[in-house]
Amino acid sequence: MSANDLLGARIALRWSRVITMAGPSEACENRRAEIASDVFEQAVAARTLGVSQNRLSWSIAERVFRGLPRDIAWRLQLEATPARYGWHVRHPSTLLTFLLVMIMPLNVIADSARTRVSALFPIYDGLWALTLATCWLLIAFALAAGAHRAFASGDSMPSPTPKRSTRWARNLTAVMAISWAISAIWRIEPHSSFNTLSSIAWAIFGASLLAYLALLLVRSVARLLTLGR
Amino acid sequence: MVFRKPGTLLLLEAQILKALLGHGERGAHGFALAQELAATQGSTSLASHGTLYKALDRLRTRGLLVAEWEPAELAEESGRPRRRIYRMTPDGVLVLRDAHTSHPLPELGPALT
Repeated sequence: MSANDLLGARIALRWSRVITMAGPSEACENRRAEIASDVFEQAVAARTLGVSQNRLSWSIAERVFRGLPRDIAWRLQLEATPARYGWHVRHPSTLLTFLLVMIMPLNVIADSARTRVSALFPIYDGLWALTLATCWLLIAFALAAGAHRAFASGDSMPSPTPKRSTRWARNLTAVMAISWAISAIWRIEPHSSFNTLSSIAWAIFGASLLAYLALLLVRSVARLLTLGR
Repeated sequence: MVFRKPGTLLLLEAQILKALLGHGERGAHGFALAQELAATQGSTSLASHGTLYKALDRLRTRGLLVAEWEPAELAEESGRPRRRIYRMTPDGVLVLRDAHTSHPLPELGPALT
């Protein structure tokens, strides 16, 4: 059994790919290679000391979990440069996906605080303020990216055209993110006239989620039929 | 983001620099440093990936250490992934000595000479 077969090692390597996804190339390649090297060296050291595979696996996974906040802070710092702001406006799907992943649990907790979980009621205002701020940020960013696409004369750093299925996946993610944000913003006043808008946005989210899942299914079947060729 | 006075070191950063000082020109790779830090702290738990590599990145950005990938052939011969070797810079030595002189940290052991 090689080190990379261990569950802990797979978690570490997978997480290093996730946290460096679509990031600045050199820094991200360095981080991925460093984690691969670290995991390998830890496995070698564990073998020398006679540590069991289970304990080694747990130890690697535990190092990943303890470092999650620092990893996220590291990635946010990498993104906080003017060059990266421009890149995100040209390639909005990464940031939209990130914001969607942030908003969904936040929004679900905020909803629970309003209706079901009384223990969360004291932080209801804070949760909703954070939810709304993130939703507005997402919409403002989507508008900026849309304006760039409509009015920019050309991409100064052209990137290779992605596959059609990838383009579809990115577009569906963008639709899901925007519709979720619109639905969340106008769900806060259930009896207001905006309630209809919220419901429409919610329906669009549901439809795009189904389309996204169908796309994933088609891609998996296609991969299976071509055996990865 | 770590907010602190310029020129100061966090305990972890000082421990990393002190560990690297012992390696001199040979330098050390990330996992070797994690092992040394655990030994220094008398802990069986290794520094998390996020904490260790973020701290190393910070020290490198401040010019207190340099990082270099070992030659690919060397790694291939040994049948392992390439190691990124960290070495201390003269600035790193100075900052570590200053930090130790102005705020001696018992966790860092005896004074640096």
